[in-house]
Formats: sequence, structure tokens, C-alpha cells
Amino acid sequence: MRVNLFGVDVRSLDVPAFLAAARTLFPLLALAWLALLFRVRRAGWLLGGVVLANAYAWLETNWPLQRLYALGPSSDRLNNLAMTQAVVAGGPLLRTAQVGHLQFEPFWAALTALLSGFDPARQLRLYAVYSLLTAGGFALSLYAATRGRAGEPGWSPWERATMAGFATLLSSAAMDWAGPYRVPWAMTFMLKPNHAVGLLLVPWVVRAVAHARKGRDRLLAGLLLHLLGWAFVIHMGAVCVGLVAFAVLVTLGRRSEARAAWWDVGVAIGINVLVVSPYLVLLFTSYGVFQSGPRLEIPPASPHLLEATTRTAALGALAAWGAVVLFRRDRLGRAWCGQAAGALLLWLSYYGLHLLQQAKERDDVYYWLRVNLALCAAAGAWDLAGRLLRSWRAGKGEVLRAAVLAAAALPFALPYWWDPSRMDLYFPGSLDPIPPRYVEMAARLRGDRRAVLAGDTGASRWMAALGGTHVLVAQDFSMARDWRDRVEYASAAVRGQLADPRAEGARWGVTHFIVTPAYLAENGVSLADLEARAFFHLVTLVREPDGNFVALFTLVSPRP
Amino acid sequence: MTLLPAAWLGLGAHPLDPMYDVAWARDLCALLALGAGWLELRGRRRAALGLALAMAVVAAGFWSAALRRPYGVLIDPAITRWAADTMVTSRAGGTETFLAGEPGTRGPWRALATRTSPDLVLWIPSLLPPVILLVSALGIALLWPGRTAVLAAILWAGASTGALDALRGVGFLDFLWRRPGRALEWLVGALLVLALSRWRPRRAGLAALAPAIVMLAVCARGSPPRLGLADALLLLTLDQHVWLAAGLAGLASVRDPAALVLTAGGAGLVLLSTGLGAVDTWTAAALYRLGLVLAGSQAVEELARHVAGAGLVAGGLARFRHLAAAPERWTTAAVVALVLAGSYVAWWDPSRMDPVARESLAPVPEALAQAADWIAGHTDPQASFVAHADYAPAVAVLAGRRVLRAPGLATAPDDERRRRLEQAVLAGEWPEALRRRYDLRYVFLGPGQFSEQGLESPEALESRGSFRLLYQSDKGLRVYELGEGRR
Repeated sequence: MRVNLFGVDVRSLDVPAFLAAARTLFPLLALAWLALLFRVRRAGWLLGGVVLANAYAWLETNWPLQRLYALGPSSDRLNNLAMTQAVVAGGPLLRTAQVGHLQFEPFWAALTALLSGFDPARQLRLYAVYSLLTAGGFALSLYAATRGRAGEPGWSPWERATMAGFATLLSSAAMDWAGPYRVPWAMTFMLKPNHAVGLLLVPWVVRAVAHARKGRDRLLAGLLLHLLGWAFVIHMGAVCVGLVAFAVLVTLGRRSEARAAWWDVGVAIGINVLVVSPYLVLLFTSYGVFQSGPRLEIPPASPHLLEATTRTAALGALAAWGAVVLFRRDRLGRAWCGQAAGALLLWLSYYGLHLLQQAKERDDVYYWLRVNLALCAAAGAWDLAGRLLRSWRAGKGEVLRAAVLAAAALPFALPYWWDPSRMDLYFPGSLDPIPPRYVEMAARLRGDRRAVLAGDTGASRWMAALGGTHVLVAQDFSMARDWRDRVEYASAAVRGQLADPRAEGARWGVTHFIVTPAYLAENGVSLADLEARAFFHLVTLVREPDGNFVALFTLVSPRP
Repeated sequence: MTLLPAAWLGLGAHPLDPMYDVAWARDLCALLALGAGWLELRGRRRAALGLALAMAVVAAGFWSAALRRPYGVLIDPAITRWAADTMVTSRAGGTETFLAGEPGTRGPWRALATRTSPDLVLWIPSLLPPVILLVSALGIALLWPGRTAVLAAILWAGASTGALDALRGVGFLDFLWRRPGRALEWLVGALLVLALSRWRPRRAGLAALAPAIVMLAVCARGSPPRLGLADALLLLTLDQHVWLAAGLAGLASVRDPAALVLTAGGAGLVLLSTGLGAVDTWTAAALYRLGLVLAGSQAVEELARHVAGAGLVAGGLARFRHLAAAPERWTTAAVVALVLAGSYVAWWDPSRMDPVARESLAPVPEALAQAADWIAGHTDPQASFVAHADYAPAVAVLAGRRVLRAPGLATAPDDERRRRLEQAVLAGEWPEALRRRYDLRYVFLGPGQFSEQGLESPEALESRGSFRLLYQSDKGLRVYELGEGRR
């Protein structure tokens, strides 16, 4: 049955009409929600609207899909699932599905393993929901973590709800899809919930540093920062830069607070570095962090400075004003102002990295910057709206201010203009189901925890992603030190050039071979040739009507 | 034939590169936008308009100069038909279409092509985006009697198209080179409405009636794109975002007749176009947007005065007071800089948004262009060609010669007879009377073409009948002249 995430048969769905209807319906629903705001008069209602708007965009994107979003069209998505599934299937926490390969996001692997109850099939169903949880969760997290300390008034809940809305729904702009970094919301929440989970922690780290008074508070801030590092190390690095920027800004603008700021930031970052350093060593040794090359330059068609400024000129102007407002407000505001300044500095640092051909992870830093700009823009817009309404004597009520701001922001909010069929590279490729040969083969392998597959690296990666099966080499995974040996071993075994493939593959624990027509052709053998080999025993062959197939062989003792 | 727009723009044979040149073009646009904001702050609004126009011309003109062929030519069937008719009329004369013996009408483009350079006529649509933006903004500044005419012109340079109306499928800028005739009609209509707004007849009703008639005339004869009612309502409201708010505020406070007629008339025509195919949505939407921007400029000035009067941002800017010509200039300067720097035109990227533009960034194959040049210089302009469906459009557009058939581009009513003649020619034995009817004298062949007629290679034609080889290229393109046929 070809169904969507919710078990509904969507084969006959007119996707363009569905998406057009969703875009038409959204403003009506949003305006109705805002109208009710005057009756409910609670900031929670506005926040709920923000969460629901994120859910709306998520649902609109997922409903027509007959496979997990971007699974296949995006190599990153397939890799990420493959890395977590090995842990979900009961493998070691620090290992991925590729034999000997170390996890670089163990927090995410552990979290999803727990949420799925260590069931790879359930993980496949839940994975789409993680995008929803991280998008909505970030809005809620931001709202909660910007409230005042116990006994202090803190920021207006209406402003905090507005911030949550801007940070999630206005950090992407309508023409982003035509830019080099695509749409931040989709590329963060939809494609990489493993990165977005870091955003859930960021507000709490900023809060912990801003509210630190005692050594215990600083310790907590450091530990939270370290947890962020395990979740998504780039966010950890970006937050550290933002914290240093906070201390510098305070030194420049509030000298009386400078000593405390440097102390808090220094302790938090110091504890974080101490605790997280083994993980950093792991990353630096296992991944080519310092590899360089022409691909790691700023794209020639991208005006780097303008991407952060005039591409969203109005938002940027509001953000600049918002940063001033936040800096003047209180310590938490200054901490957020520091994050925005740090994000901008990080973005500008790519000019230098570009010269060294080290301009890596530009996309993640860009999305981080956009989130920070949107967040500051919310503070700026909130302040300006208040000033204008007061000057027009239009009432002092925060309900009116929030509703006017939300209505003004509505056309710029993601669900109003979001058209995944045009704006999302991965959406069209996700409309069709995963090729049945992979699904059936993965179901056959699921549960076999001892299996290690060699052979076709593309099919191997599908098996890792769909069932958590361990593989010798997974396509597009970072290469093991002995990757050449692995590839040559598999080819030699298939070509019949090894005396005993079982013994030769024992060092990696190879138990099975998975082959496809392309892989067989690449090695100049046929399926019949392989069946005739003494060490190969055909276990399963899944053939599709178009002739494409996947065959699974187990390595056996030679027949007498 | 000049295929590069860069040549028309004085850049010689070096078209701009959409990959390697677009970043500096955008940097330049940002600088011009900031410069315009600075000049506005200093009270030099006319100079600010100069920079705003320069920004619009650089931003839109970049893509005109990046095209490697006239927009859509040999890509989009409608544009290619137009180009073929224009070129053939200019080079071979007559009023027939590019299909030999097929009667046509002598429209304004064909008339222009015969009087000027046909290459230039082919290039006019591709050059329209910067030209229309420039002329329309100048028209606002010079013709509209509104107090904020120059400010409105600056804002129009940046706000003529918004991201949301572009996504809705009716972006003003996006269709300028796709619908050149419409674009020119819109320009004339808009300039007329602006000029008429200076007219103060005794009967007040006439002042509104005359521009309304102009708008109706400009929007008559609807063609795609079309919108449903819901889309039209969203286009008129939320898609206009700040321009709707500013426009309505400006109309409420100043009630400028031109802005009112354009806004109300444009909105009405957009709504009418959802039910009446006779009304053109794109033209009406562009007039509506123009009305909102005119009215919005007045609201911007009102807001600037209000902000300056209420001292909303005066505190922080007090120490920079000497920079501004007047306190309200802070707001207008910020609006100018933001509207221009973040404008749709500044970030316009047709290579990603418009498949026809993307394909127009690829040059016509050199061998084909050379062969067409040879044909244009060495064959009888009155005679027609047999050419494969792949090359027939090129023979008409690039060489200006009529063709017997052009399947996929146009089909004559007597296509069956033409097809039989084509088969007969390729078989080497054609009825002379029928050949003369279409003045068919040449065959243009490329490798692999007409294999369904048994032609394994272009040179195989020579053994089939009386053909004289006139031209051959190292890529295998050949031109044959027909000899004596069957009487």
C-alpha cells in the first residue's frame, strides 16, 4: 500500500492543488486565530498559534509524501538515519552502522533510540515527527527560557510569544529558495532535526549564563553548554562565540557588569571545554575537520555580506534596532544581543576561512544567524509597535500590540508563502515511496544483529537506514582509514578472486553480501556467476517489475 | 546576426556571467541603494532618484546582459514564432509568416524590423526589464503631480515587484521580457494615466473617467497568467503587505486622484479578470501596485513627519542631527535604503525562477549560428528551405529564411501537402509545380536528421537526385540547392 505518514493513500492526491489550497487556507485560519486573541487575551494563545503554524507547514509538507521526507533525495538525511538506526537496533552508542565508524552526534542517536523504544521500524515512523517536535519545541523553549527569574517581572509574555513566532516562522524569507542556502526552516527543522534539537537547548544555555549569580549557576551553564555540544557541536561553538561577544559588548557598553560577564562566560565555556573535550578530540581525529579544498569556499554567486544583511533588509533593520533594545534592557537581553553579534561575526569570519579553503558548514551558521536576526527583529518590532501605538494613542494594551504585529507579520510568515513543490529540493523526490526492493530487503534483515553487509555501498546504506544493519562501507559516509581495503575486498570477493572471502572479511565481521545490477556490472559478473561461487549462498532476491533487483548472499563454508 | 545582448549594451562580445559576476552586481546594487538613502538623508532627493534608477538598471540589466541569446528564442515556441516572423519579414520581405506561402499580417514588430535592424528588434524584449523600470520611474517623477513624486519614483524603482506577487505568478518584473507587447502597452498606459492626472477639466468626473478608459484599454485582451478569486483577493491584500497599509493610509490622508484611480481601478480590474477572460490580470495588478506605491509614498512622508514630531527615534540620533537635512529625513532615508537594498529587483534571479531565462543563458550552438550566417549571406532571401524540425526555427530566426515546415513550432493548414513535398524532395524526385508554389530551393541538413526518410547521413542526399552542395561545416551541417525536379 502506498500511503503517507498517517496511513492515508495519497496516490491520487493532486499535489499542486493541495499545496495551493493549504496556502490559501492558512491566512484565513491565522486571522481567525488572531481575532480570537482579543477574546482569549492570553499570550499562551498567541504562542499556541505559533506552534500550530509550524505544525501547519510541517503537515502541508508531509501529507503528500509516500516516504519519509528527503530520505533518498538527500544524502545527508539517509546518512543521518543510518547513523542513528544502528543505535536504535541495539548497537553501541558511539558507533554508527558502518563498521568501526564513530558517531559524531551521539546525543541524537541516544535520544531517538530512547524515543523509539529501540525499535528501528518505529524509528522510521517517528522520524518525521521529530521535525515537528523540534520546530514547535524551539518556539516553546524560547518562550519558556526568556521568562523572568522567580520573583522578577521579566519580559512581557506577549513579546516572548512574538519572539518565538519570528524565530521559527520569520527566520525564512519568501525568496530564500532561490538563494544559495535555500529555506532555513526546511533545511533545519524538516531536513535536520538532529541539528534543530540543538536550538531547543540554546535558550536555556543563554538563560543559564545570563542569570548566573553563584558558582553553582555557572557550573550548570557549563554543563548545559556541554550538553549542547553533544547535541550539535556547531551550535555549541556558535553559542560560545556569542557568549564571548556578550562579554565584549558588556565591556564596551556596561563596564560595571564587565567583570561578572567575563567570569560567567569564562567559567561556562571552561567547564564545557573540560567536559566535552573528549568528544571534540573524537571529532577532530575521526573526521576530516581540517581538510580543505575548493568546494570549501564561499560560492562565487553569493554576495556573502549581503546574504546576512540586505537579503532580508527589513528584518535586518528591525534586528539591529532589536539588538539595541535588548542590550539596553537587562542581562538576558544583553546575552541575546551577544548571540546575534556573535552569529554575525561568525558569518563574517568566513571571509578568512574562504581564503584558507576552510569555509565549512556555512549553511548551519547561516541558519543560526537568521534565527538570531529574527529573534532580535521581534524585539525591535515589539518596541517600535509599542512606540507607534502610544504615539497614535491607540491604546496601551499588549493584546492589540501583539495582534497588530502578528497580523503585519502574517504575509511574511513561512506557511503563507511556503510551496515545497517549488522551494524544496527534496520534496518532489519524496513523493514516491522508497523502492520496494530496499524495503523488503531491510525487513528481511531487520533483527539480525550479527549481520555485516558488504557489496553495493548504496544498497548497504539503505539497509543501514531502514533497519540499522551494520555495513562494511556505506555510500557518502565519511571514509574509514582502511576504506580502500574494504572496497577492494568486496570487489575481489564478488569477482571470485579471494580464496576464502569469509576468512578475509572476518576482520570486519562480514557475513553477507548485498548486490545490485549496477554493482554486478561494475565488477563484470552476473547474478548467476555469483550464485555459482562456493562461498556465496543466495538468501533473498527482491526483483521489481522494471528488472531492478537487490540480492542478498550469505557467506557460507564451501560446499563439499 | 548579433546574438549577445552584451553587444547591444556596449560590452562587446563579453556577456556577464550569472555565476561569477552576479555577486559584485548585487554588491554594487547594495552600494547604490545605501547611496540613495544617504542622499535622501542629506535632502538631495533628485540625486537619490538617480542612484535608485541606477540600481534598478544594474539589477535588471545584469540579467539582460547575461543572456547568451534573445530571451526565449529557439526555446519558447511563442517567442520563437514571433522572432521567426520578424526576422523573415525583415530579411526576405513580404507579409507571409515564416512558413513559406502562409499568409500573415504586418504587425508593429515586423514593421519596425523592416525599418530598423531586425537584430535589434529581436533584442528589444530582452532589454525591456531595465528600460521599463527606468522609464516608468522617470515618468512618475516627471508626470505625476503628487507632492511626493520623486520619492514615489524612488520607491517604484525598488517596489514595482514584490516577492509575494512574484510567487503568486503575476510579478511585474518577471513578465517584462516574456510579454514585451503587453509591457510596452502597460508603460504607455501608466504614463498616460500619470499625465492625465495633471489635467483639471471643469467636470470633475472627466478627470477620473479619462484615466479609467485608458486603464480599461490597456487591460483589454486578457491572456495568461490567470488567477482564481481567492488568489486574486490575496494578491490585492496580504501580498501587498506594507504597500497595502501605506497605500490605504496615503489615500485616506491625501486622496490623490491618480493614485486613487490606479488603486481602485487596478483592484477592480484584477477582480474582473478572475471572471472575465477579456481582462489581463498581470497588467491590472501592475497598475494596482503603481497606485499603492504612489499613495504609499505620501504615507511614508506622513509617517516621517509623525516620527520626527513625536520624537520616537530622536534620542539616539540627536548627536547625528547635523547629518540630516530635516528630522523627518531619517525615516524617509531609512525607507529608501531598505526598500531598494532588499528589493525584489535587487535579488531577482531569473536563472533560478524562470526556466526560459535559464535556458536563454546558454548560447546558440556556434556551428548552427555560423551556418545560419552563411545562409543569410549566400542564399536567395525569397526562396524557402526544407529543414528538420530541430533546425527549421533556427533557419527562420537566425538566417531570416522561410521554411516549408516547422513541426512543433507552427502547422500550416496545408501541412499534409507540405509533408508530401518534403518527402519527395528528400527522395530526390519532386513535382516542380509544387516546388515552385512554395519557392522551395534549399535543403538544410544536420547529422542524424531525416533518418526516418532513410537518410543515414547528410551527404547521402546527393545520391538521391539533383542536389548541389553549397555549404558544409566541420560539424556536418550542409546546405544543398535543389536542381531540376520532375515536371
